[in-house]
Amino acid sequence: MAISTEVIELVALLTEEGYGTLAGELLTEISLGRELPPHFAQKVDPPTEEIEDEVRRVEIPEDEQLSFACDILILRLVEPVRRLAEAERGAASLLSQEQNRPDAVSIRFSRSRDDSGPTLARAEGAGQSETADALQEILTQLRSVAI
Amino acid sequence: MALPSNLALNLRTILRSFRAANRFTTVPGGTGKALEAWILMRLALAAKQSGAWHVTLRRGTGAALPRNGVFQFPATRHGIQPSSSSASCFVLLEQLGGGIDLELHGSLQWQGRSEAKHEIDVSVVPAVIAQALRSSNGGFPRGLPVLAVECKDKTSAGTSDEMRETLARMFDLALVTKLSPRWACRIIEAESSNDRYWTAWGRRSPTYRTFFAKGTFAIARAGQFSLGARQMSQHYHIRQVNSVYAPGLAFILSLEGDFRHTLRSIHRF
Repeated sequence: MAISTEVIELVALLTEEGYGTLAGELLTEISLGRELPPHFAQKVDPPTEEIEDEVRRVEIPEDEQLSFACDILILRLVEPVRRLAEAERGAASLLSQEQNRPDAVSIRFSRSRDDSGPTLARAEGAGQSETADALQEILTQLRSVAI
Repeated sequence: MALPSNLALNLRTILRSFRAANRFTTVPGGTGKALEAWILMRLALAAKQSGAWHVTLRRGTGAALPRNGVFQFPATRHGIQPSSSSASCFVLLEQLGGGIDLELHGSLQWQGRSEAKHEIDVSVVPAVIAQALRSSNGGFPRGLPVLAVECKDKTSAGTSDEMRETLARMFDLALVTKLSPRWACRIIEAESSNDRYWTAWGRRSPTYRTFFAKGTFAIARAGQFSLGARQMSQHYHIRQVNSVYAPGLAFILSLEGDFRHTLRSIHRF
């Protein structure tokens, strides 16, 4: 299946900006094709019906690939940051002190004390997701161009 | 056709800001950790909203997290670490009116009957077990968790093989056969060479399915599940939570409801 010029350019941009792994996944997903919705089949009779375990995919037309790619980036980048920000806001209500609670508690992903490596901290304020909102906005604009 | 140049330039600029603000998204598995943290906090809030549990954030020492504290979520697999301010944080669930206390952990490793260790993205361990480990040199809880959720932030569909992996983990953890003749239980702390000093919790079940029927077990995905995976999940009481990021949050709400049911029936464990 041919990959569209826009997607190739998007993949290159992602790689240049430090998202090489995600860029590779994006190419793989587009090359494999779009998954069909799982069969919510009626109850099958095991002795006579073969359960479909394979996930069925269909080729993605070139003019739909950019939109498909933008949807994946929203799920893989925008949503995780938004949900982490939501987790930080929710965590504030679990502080034992009831008075003067902050709006959010910073969540950091830290290595165990026996491991080397940096702590994965967010530079964005706890509970904030403006950068995710901006990324969603630009990806939505790209989707509109694609359609 | 190339990307519109102005949009491409804007995307590059925004992506750089995004990366600078959220560096964990560039690390393999980083966005998966965000999903784990979100599910953990949502389950904690669900327990609090039930009205039957006092739920608080805790440091690695067991002390309450101060208002300006940072919740250290583990980025790598680990057991219960010895009490320390640098150890990972957790959520303490204290049953109102006295009773059973539980701890909600991220990326906690449990040790199976084969001696292999299994990392569970979000799990619940009885506080008495975790405290026994924390007050000694740390270690790994053994047995079947009260709650175990695998988090998959991939958009592709979950296959039967993924479900088999989850089941293999649960089979190894479930104490259908006892670790020691002295103890028939659900979860145990067994760090001492003398089993007399072990700490045990809950009842042992004679079969895997009866073991799995008590508790909340789930795979939470950004994508869907294949039909083959669904068969195994239904038989062995493993909830499939698909499209976790979908608007309306229907699937995550169902997981929260399942957890509240588990908490209401915790006295039967």
